[in-house]
Amino acid sequence: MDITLNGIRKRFSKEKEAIAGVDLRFPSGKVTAIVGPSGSGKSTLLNLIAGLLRPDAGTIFFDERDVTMVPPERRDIGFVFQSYALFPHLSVEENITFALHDRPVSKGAKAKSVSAMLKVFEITHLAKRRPRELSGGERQRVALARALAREPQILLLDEPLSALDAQLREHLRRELGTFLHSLDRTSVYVTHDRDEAMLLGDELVVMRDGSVVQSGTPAHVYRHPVDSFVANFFGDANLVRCDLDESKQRIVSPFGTFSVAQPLLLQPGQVACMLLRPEMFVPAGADGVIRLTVRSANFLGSKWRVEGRDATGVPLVVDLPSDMAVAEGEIVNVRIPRSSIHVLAVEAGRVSGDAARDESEHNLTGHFHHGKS
Amino acid sequence: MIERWGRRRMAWGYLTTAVVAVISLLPPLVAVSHSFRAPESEQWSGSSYEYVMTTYGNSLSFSLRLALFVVIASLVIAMPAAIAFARFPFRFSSVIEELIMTPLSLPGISIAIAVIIGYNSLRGNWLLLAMAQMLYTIPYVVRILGNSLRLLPLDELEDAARTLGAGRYLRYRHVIAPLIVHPTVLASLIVFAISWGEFNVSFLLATPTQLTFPAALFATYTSNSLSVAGAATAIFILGAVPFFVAFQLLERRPFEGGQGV
Repeated sequence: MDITLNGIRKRFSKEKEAIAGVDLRFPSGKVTAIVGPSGSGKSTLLNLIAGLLRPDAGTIFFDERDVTMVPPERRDIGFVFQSYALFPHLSVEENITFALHDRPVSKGAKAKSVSAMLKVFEITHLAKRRPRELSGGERQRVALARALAREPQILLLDEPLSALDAQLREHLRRELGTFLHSLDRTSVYVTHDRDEAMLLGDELVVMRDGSVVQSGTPAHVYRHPVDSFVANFFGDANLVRCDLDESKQRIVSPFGTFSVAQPLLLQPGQVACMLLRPEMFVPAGADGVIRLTVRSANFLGSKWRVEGRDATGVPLVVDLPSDMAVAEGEIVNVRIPRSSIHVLAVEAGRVSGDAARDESEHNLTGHFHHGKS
Repeated sequence: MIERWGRRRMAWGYLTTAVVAVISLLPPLVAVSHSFRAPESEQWSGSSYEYVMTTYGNSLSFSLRLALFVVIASLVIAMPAAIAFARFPFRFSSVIEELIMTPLSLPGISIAIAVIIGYNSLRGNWLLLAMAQMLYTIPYVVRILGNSLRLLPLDELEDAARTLGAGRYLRYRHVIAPLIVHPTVLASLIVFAISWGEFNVSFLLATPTQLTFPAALFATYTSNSLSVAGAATAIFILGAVPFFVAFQLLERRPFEGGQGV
């Protein structure tokens, strides 16, 4: 079942719109991860899809059915809450049975369904326990079993792993990913964790300040972010300022001149930047394009994480194979495969150190953002 | 060494508990022990109990009926207020909630006088006594229920029930109501105990036909023998026993709020 949002708006206060006009389509049978920092509106959007909140404007369709004003109890959805929201006074078995309260079948048939769900989620031994007697992972399984007991066409999950410790989260993340993809139902998964989003989502929706910044497959969003926010959110990124020629299809960078597939349109106040992920660099021979003077080198087991500057003073962070010999003060030759280069428009104010670099002889700016935002 | 320390601490715990128990229980036990002596003699007898039941039976019955009424009326009045304060807070609601607590800091005599002046038309009516007691009991219900409701993630549980297809009635019947039973019963027990043992207001507002048992107890001490007073005390304690048992049973059953869901 497709979910389509048209012009959705929601406001909780006069000052700020929580959802500022969102148009989206969640494809049928796919897992879509909505990702963004705290306060970006991702949980609000999920609650709007569930019907727990009503939009101030816009429409929500499940396939051809307009559900904008339909209450959640009539939307045929499954919802896994961040805290799981298991009924504390009911046993695991009773929690799942509650989901079948309106099914026109006998008690025996309901018991069979519950028993089947308990088996699927391997929680049969917990059937008589209360939620307070369960571990975080067990609660998560019960919440999923309860949400799926009604066999909903749409499954909505609001940060279901965020309450767990890091080790358990890592383990359940993989398990949940396998499970969600085996369901073949439209699933919308909200998270603030980029790794979780990339692992679980067939599609990603990146949100910031109540708006969708970018959507697409994880690989596309990672390789072709639309702006510096997305570029930094999905991993370490060297954003190196470059110039566009008149055709807007060739860029002049400190590392050479490159062609880009699509002309880059810059809005007033924007500058062009090359996105170079640390892992995109490859070691080169003596004729390498970039001569990097190593300022620090950290051995991370599977790779070296090297920080340095190129000959023009552009600071770069580069990952190098762990079998290389790297030491501080040395010069390392690296190159960038042309196919890896992505150019994006960045607000000039977001490129820190711009003013200082603009005074340099090359009139080019190197900039590095550490980690995710 | 650690084991020896553990034993010493345990012994210290037993000793202090025993001292507190003796200090608390000795006076009523002495009073009760006198109840089995016949008035003006050293003979063992149950006649004092017979006397108390004959003379003050009506007071016992009145106190019991009054306490039950106060429990129900306090819940009816205070429950919606507690729900409003906890689930739908509004501007100044916390100030109003604190103001409701004011009677707890006032001496009983002030409450009695205030009630007599404020509701003079009800003078002689048992409702006046009930209202005076409710000035004490309503704050307890508001506070106990309010705090419990704040601990429960009721909004989220209701939302969960909605996504599972539950309509308004089902949500109330199977999610909200079972979760507030525990604090409601607890509040009821406390209100009953307060009303059952309340003396100050009852004494001032008492009439010959509306004499509560604690006020009657006072009369036994001032006008009867020690054995009659002891018997009245024993009956009074007996009336409170179900409350203590119920309270203990409730304490053993964990409240589901604050446990995380």
